[in-house]
Amino acid sequence: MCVAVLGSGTLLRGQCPNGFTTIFFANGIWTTFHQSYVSTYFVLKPAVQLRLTQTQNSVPQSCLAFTQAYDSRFVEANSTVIDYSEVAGQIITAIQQRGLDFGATFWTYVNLAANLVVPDWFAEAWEAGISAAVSTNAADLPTQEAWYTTAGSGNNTAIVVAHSQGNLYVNQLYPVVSLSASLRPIAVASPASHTAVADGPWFTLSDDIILNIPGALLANTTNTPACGSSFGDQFSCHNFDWSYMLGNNGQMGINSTGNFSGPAIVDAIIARIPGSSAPYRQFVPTHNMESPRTGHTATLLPEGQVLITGGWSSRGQASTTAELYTAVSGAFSPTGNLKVPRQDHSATLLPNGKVLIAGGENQNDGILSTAELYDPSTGAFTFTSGPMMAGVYGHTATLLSTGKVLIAGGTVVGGLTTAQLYDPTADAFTFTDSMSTPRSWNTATLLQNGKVLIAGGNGTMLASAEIYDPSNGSFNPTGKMVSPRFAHTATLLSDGRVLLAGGALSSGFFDYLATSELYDPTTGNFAPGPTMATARAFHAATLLQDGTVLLASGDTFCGANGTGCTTVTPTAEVFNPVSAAFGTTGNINTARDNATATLLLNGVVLITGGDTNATNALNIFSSAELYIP
Amino acid sequence: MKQIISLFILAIGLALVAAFMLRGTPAIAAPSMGTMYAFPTALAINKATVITLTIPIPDPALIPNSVNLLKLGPSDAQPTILGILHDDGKSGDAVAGDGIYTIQVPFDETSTGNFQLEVSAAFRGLLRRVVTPPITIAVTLDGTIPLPPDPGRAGLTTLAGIDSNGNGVRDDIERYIALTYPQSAKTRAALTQMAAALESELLNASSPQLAVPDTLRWAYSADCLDYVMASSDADVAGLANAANALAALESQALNTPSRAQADFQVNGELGAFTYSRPNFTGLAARCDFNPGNFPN
Repeated sequence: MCVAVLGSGTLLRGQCPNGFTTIFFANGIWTTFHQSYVSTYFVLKPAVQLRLTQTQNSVPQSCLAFTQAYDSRFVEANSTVIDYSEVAGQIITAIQQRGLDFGATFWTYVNLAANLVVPDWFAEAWEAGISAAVSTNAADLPTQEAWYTTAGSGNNTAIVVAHSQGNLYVNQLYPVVSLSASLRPIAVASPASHTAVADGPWFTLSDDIILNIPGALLANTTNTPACGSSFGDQFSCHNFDWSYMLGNNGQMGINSTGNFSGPAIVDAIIARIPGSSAPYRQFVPTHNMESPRTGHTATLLPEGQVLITGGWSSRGQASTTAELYTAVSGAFSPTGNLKVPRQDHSATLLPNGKVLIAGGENQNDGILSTAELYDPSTGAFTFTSGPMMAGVYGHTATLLSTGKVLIAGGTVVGGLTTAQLYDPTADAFTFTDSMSTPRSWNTATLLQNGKVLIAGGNGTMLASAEIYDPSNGSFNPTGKMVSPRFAHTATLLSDGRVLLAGGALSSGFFDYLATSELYDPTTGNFAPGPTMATARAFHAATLLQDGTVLLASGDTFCGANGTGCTTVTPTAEVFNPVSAAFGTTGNINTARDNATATLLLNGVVLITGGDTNATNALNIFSSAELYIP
Repeated sequence: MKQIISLFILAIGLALVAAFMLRGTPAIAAPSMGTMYAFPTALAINKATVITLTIPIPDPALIPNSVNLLKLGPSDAQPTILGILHDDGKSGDAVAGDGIYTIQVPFDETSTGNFQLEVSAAFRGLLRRVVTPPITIAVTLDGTIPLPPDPGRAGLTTLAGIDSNGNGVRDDIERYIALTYPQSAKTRAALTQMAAALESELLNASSPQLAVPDTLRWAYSADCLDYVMASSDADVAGLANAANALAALESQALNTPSRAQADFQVNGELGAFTYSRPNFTGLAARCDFNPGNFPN
């Protein structure tokens, strides 16, 4: 028997090696406490426990707790508290007005509506009440925050199975609770074509008329019954027990002989339990961007929004538009426009909170030597006081500990070895030392010692690397890379080393690499790393909050041996620096290269835009996805 | 003058004493005694039968060995003390120290009719003993349980309905439970516990401060029902039966607009509220009775 001692770092090790997990059932507004009890303890709990047994999962059942997180009160924007007794009251009144037998109508529609067509008067009363109850804030958010943060603190995990309007108050937690190993919500809604994204940060249903909340989200969970388009169908398919825990043979998740009959939600829950043998990590769709983009930038702002700028919106057409992603709502919204169209430019968050937009190219001006500053307080772009020292695109831009920005590599007007510095204080660019060799599609990584590792690239000395030292403004040689590579990724690990992964050789775009290598700044040497399952270039790499590295999608070979063609891969892998190995993770929903990947404050990775490989039919994406770590 | 001052001081003192007496003694929370359960509640005439009676008394102010079982006689007669209920885990008591007191008493009645039992207990700080509402035991020719009459439509006119025997459960619900589950005494007992809790929820709906304790009482009854209808957390069929029994009872109990509205009102009053059910082995303690005392 596990005894929870919240906050203890050594909690339950041995018996509960990954800590105690509490699974909350967060009810919908129509769910009574009685129904919530049944959903939690008679349906959800035995289904999860049986499934754990059947899959011989390594999670000890004694390390699991199930809790009803009951709430039926919501607060409207005008601070009016609404509880669902008022909603029910409207329906009861409608029944009375029609002189109907209460027992034969009300509870039939509430509990046994699976095969019934709900009459218009019922639907009208329902919708009138629900639209009044849909609101923006949970009435007892601080209480609920305490539930989840307490249950998810220390070495413990809180999994929230939010159904229907339960999503409303779970959504409100995102600004205050970090989505991580400690809090893992699961959304449940219906019907399948209208099902919300399985994982937040905003996963309430959109066009489900029961909820009537604007803003479409995509489906990705399995819904058991066949649901039609009438209100009655949607109503019946919205019920937690019937729609999500009902197995294929009509039993609640498990049949009378004790066999699991397969609601996907159960496996989704188990996958989120730390120590489970099922993988949790996966990609889920979120809202589309306002515009398709590739060769764009994505920059995390201090308050959690992500600034998206420029890029190709169609082949050869760079865009001036920019937009903001807000994690709380999961939506993109327009912000001010760039002064000139840009693609393959850079965007760097400065210490003063502004964002430096530098270089790039467009269809009108070619390679750009102008730069702009984005001010989040006004949402406007303005040119820097002076232009860059040289036009450049496809470069790197690295914020140094001095507060200046190092612009290096890329395709540069006037010389491929040129590097320059932007000084935010002077609002001006100056030349700095030149690199030893020209390189583009190289990487630049700020090391923990304040120096910058410049590695690889599509030049003549692709296996070379060099170090930029901000203290004296010079580039100096360092160890030779294990393999030449360009269009690879370089990620600073928590231990100070740098993981270089994938990329391509210079001999052609079809020579994609699955290899990796590790740079150790204490020795200045590169060492071979593990090999990825999939060769990839122009992919995305992100250091996650747990110290692992997500490598997602990108270009790869069409065939097994990689001759003759290129495609984009939906695969993703996770590098574990402790075991020094790559592990599999869920596939991205839309395979893409040149996408951006931004680690949000809540630990989720935002993937935006990108394209299919430019040598084939070029599709530029406005879609975005979230990777739930 | 000195006497006048003394009389004045005396008058003030008497006034203070009188004021204190009028104000009464400091308020003491009412002792908590749960619902009394007896099994069986019907005896066959001229047949020796042991009745097991349990009652939860979690109040720490309870004086041990003061919980008496009384048999009521005619209205002008003194009750007869049949014995002392105990919480020692022996002689029918399920768990020592769990706050549920038990007694097993043999009866051999020689005439048909009814008699009533009640429990009285003493609490520290109270001068008078606290007595439960009486429970009625029927003596019939064959020992079958007499049901209250069907209230019909008259039972639908008020929120409370009709509870002719005053046992805290509406007559229509009492009949429903007895007629639906004739084969299982412990299922009937668990559903009776649930019905009483649900009735308490409805009648207290206009008192928001009672929403949580009433709902907890209901949740305990659901835990108890789970325990008596399933054999373990892995007993899928048993859990499904319990879920169905719970839903069916709810539909029976909330069978008028005012009752359904009251139930929704209680749910709204709960606000942010969590409840965690213990693992299966801990569910037995949620029953107001000892399931082990029931033969089926």
